[in-house]
Amino acid sequence: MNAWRAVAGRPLGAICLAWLGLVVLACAGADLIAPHHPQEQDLSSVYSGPTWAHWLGTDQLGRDILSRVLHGGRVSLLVVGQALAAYLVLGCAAGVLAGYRRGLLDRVVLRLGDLALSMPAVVILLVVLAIFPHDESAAMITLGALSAAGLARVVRASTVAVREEPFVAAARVAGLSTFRILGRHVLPSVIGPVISLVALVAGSALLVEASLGFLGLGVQPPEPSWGGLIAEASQAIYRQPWLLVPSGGVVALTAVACAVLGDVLRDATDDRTSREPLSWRRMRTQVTRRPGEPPDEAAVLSVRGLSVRLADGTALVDDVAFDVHPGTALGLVGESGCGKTMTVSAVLRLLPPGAVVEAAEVRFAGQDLLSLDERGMSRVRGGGIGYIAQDPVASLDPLFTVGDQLTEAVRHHNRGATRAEVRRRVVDLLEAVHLPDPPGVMAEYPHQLSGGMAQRVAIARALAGEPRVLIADEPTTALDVTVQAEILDLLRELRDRTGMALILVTHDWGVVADTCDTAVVMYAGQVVEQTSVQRVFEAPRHPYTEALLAADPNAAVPGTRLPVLPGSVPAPGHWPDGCRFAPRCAFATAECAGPVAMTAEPMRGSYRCVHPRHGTTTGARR
Amino acid sequence: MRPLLDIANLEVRYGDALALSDVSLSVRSGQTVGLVGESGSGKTTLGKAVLGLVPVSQGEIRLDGKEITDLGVKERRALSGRIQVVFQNPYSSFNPRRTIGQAVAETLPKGTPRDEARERVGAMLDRVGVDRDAAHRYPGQFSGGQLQRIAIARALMPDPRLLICDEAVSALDLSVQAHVLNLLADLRAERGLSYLFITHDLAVVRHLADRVVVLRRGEVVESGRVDDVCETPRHPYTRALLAAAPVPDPVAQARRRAERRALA
Repeated sequence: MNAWRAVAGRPLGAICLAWLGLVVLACAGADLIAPHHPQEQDLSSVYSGPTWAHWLGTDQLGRDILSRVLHGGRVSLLVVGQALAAYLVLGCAAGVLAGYRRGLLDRVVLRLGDLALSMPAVVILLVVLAIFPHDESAAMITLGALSAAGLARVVRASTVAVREEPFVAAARVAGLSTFRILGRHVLPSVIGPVISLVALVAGSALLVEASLGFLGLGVQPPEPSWGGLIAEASQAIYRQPWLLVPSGGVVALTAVACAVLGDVLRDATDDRTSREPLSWRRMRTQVTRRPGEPPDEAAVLSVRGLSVRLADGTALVDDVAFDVHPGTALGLVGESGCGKTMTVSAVLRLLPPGAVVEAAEVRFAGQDLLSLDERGMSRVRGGGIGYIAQDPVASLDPLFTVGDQLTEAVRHHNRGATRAEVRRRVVDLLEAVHLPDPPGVMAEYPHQLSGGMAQRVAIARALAGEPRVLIADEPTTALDVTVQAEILDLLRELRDRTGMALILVTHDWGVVADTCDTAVVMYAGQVVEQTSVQRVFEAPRHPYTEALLAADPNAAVPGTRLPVLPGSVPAPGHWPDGCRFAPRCAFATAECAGPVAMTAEPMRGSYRCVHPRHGTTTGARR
Repeated sequence: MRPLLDIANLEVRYGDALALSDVSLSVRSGQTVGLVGESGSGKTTLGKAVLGLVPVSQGEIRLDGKEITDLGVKERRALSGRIQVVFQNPYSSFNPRRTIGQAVAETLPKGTPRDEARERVGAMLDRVGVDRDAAHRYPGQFSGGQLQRIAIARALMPDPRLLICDEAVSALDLSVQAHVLNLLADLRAERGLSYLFITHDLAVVRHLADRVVVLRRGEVVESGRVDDVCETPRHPYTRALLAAAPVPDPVAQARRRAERRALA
C-alpha cells in the first residue's frame, strides 16, 4: 500500500516501524529467544545490573529481566491487540454504516458515540475489572470499544463525503451489493485517517495497559507483564534504580514509536505537508524584459512576446501578443490546457508561486506594467484592470455580505470618501448591473444569491475601480443559458456605455460570436490565429481554428457525424517542435517541422501556419 | 409498439420540496430522447429516479412493460444489465484507487474467469477507442475525454438496452465532445441502444436526439420531435431557451439577440 511505502521511505517512520516490528517479533518468539525461563530464580545474583549472563540484569528473586520483558510483552501486546481489534471493528463498522445508510441508524450511532466519549474511561475500566477481576482482556476490549466512538466519527465523515461521489452511484447502478460497495469503494477511501488513528490509539492503549499492571489490577504475579514489571521495579527503586530502565524503557519507546508512526502516517497521507515551504521571495513572480516588437499606442492594453514558465521550467505560454482597443471586446478562445487563463493571469501578475514571466511589452493605458513592482501592480489590478472569475459564488467571500464586499472595494479605490458617498457609490454600482432592490441585495450573503445574481455582484465589484479593461475568465460557463444571455447583454452594455475594453476568455464559439469584436485563438500556449470575429467564422486561416469550429454541434447538420481531430491537445512540457498542431493536422507537410512564425495580413489579422486555409494569397490548399 | 422505458405521472420529493411533478415520457427501442432544462429543473433527478438512486413518491416507471419503480436491492441488481449510466464528471466517476480494468469489469457477473474478464474488458476498451493497456492504469493518468470513453465502456459491459447520459459531454472540450458524440451515435447504430440524454445544451440534443422533452421546475413544459420543437417551439420557455443559446455566427447571432430582446 502507498501509505506504508511512504512511511518506510521517511527515516523517522522507518525507525518506528523497525522498532515496533522488532518488539512484536521478539515478544511473539519469547519461548525461543528468551535466554531464561521467566520464573527461573537465581538467588545467588539478585538485583544485579546488566551482566553477560543477564543482559538486562535480574530482579529481587534473581529472575532474568530480559526474559521477563519478552514474556511480559507477549501478555501486554496481546491485550493491546485485542483493544485495537475492538476499536477497529466497532469504529469502522459503525462509522461506515452510519455514514452510508444515514437516517435513524446514523443518529443512534452518533448519540451512542457522544455517550461513550463523555464517560470517563478509567472509571468504566475499574467497573469492568471489578466484575471480571484481573481480566485484562475484558478491560482492554472495553477500552477499545469506548475509544471507537472517535474513530466512528472520522470514518462516518469520510463515508458521507465518498457516498456522494458519482463512482459510488455507478457501482450501485452496476448492481453491486451494499456490502461490496462498502468494502470496495468506501472503506479504501477512508483507510488513510484510520491507520494513523490506530497507531495513535495503540500507543495510548499500551500506556493504559501498563498503568493497570502497575496498579496491580492486571495479570497477577508471578506472571510477568510490562506494567507489573514497572511496579516491581518501583518497589526497589532505592536498591536498584536500573530495574526501571528496561521495564519503563520498553513501554515508553514502544508508546512513542506508535505515536510518531501515527504522525508520520498522517503526514504521508496528507499531501499538503509533502510540499516544501515557500519563502516570500520564491512566491513572487519573476518578471524579465526581452527585446521585441513595440506596442500599439492606440490600444488600451498591448502585449508583446509574453511567455510564462512555472518554477520547474515548464512553459505554459509562449510568445503571445495581442492588442485590446477601448470600447471593444477581445475573445481569447481555445480548449483547456492551451494557456488562455495563464495569459490573462500573467497580465495581472496573479500566477502560481515561483512562476516566471518574460515579455517584450505589457503596456496598459500608456503605463509599462513590466517595470511595476508588486505594489504598483496591486494598484493596477482592480483600478485599471478589473477581473471576474468563472465561479461567481466562489469568487465572493462567504463570511461577508454583498454590501461589505462592495464597500471594501469602493473604499479601496476612493480613499477619503465619506460613508454616505461610499454607500451611494455601492448602490450606483448595483444599479449599473441591473440588480433590483440594491439595499436588499447589500444585506445578503453570497450563498443566498443565485449564480446569475452573484455574477452581477462580482461584475459590480470589478467596476468599483472604474477599470478601463475588464478581464472575464469564462464568466458564463457555470451559468444557465438564459442567465448567460443576460450577463453577456450586461457586459456588452457596460462596454458601450463606459468605453471599457473587454477580454473574454472562453471556449464557446457562441459567446465569441455574440459579444466579441476580435478573436485570438490559442493552441498549446501559442496564439495561432488573430482576426476579426466576422473573419474567424467566415474564413478561418489556421487549420486548428477551422477544426474547432467544425466540432461545434451548432454548426453541424443534425444526425451526421461531427468532423473530428485525431489525438488531443499536448500537455505543457510535451509540445512538439515546429508547428505544435502539425501532428493532428490534415494538411501538415515536412515544412511544418521547422519553427513557424505569425504571418500578418494587412487589415485582416495574422496566423501561425505554413498552409493557411481559405486564403487568396500564399500557399492556400483546399 | 411498446416503449422500452415508460414513465407515467412521476413525482419525486426531497423532503417538502417537489423535485418532479406529474412527469410522463417514454423512450422507444433504439430511440434517443433528449431531456433539456436549466439547473433546478429536475432533469438529473429524473435520471436518478429511473436508476433507482432516489425514491419515487408517486407515479410509475416501466422498463419493457415491467414496473421498476420501487425495486428491492436484488431485483435492482438484476436490472443493472439493462439500464446503465454515464455521468458528467469523468474524474469523479471512477474510484481513484482502482485500476481501469477493475472498474470496467465491475459489472461482470461474479465468478467470471479472469482470462475471459480480461478479454472482454480489452475488447470493450478497443471498441471505445482506448488502448488496451489502460486496464492496468489508474484513472488519474487519463484525460477527461479518455475517461469519458472508459465510462461508456464500463456502462456497456453488461450490454444494456438503455443508457442514461447525465450531462455526459458537458464537461468536455469541443473537439473531445465531438469524438464522444460520434462514438455514442456509432454505438447506438451498432447495438440498437436507446439513450435518455440529459443536458442543458440544446445544440447537442439537436445533433443526437430524435425526441426532446423540456423540463422546467420539475414539470414537462413541451415535448415532441426534436426538429419540431427546435424549429417551432410552442411554449414560451422553450422559445426563451432556444433564443438564449448563442450560435457561432456573428450575423445570425446579432439577429437572434434582437429577436430575444423583442421576446422579453
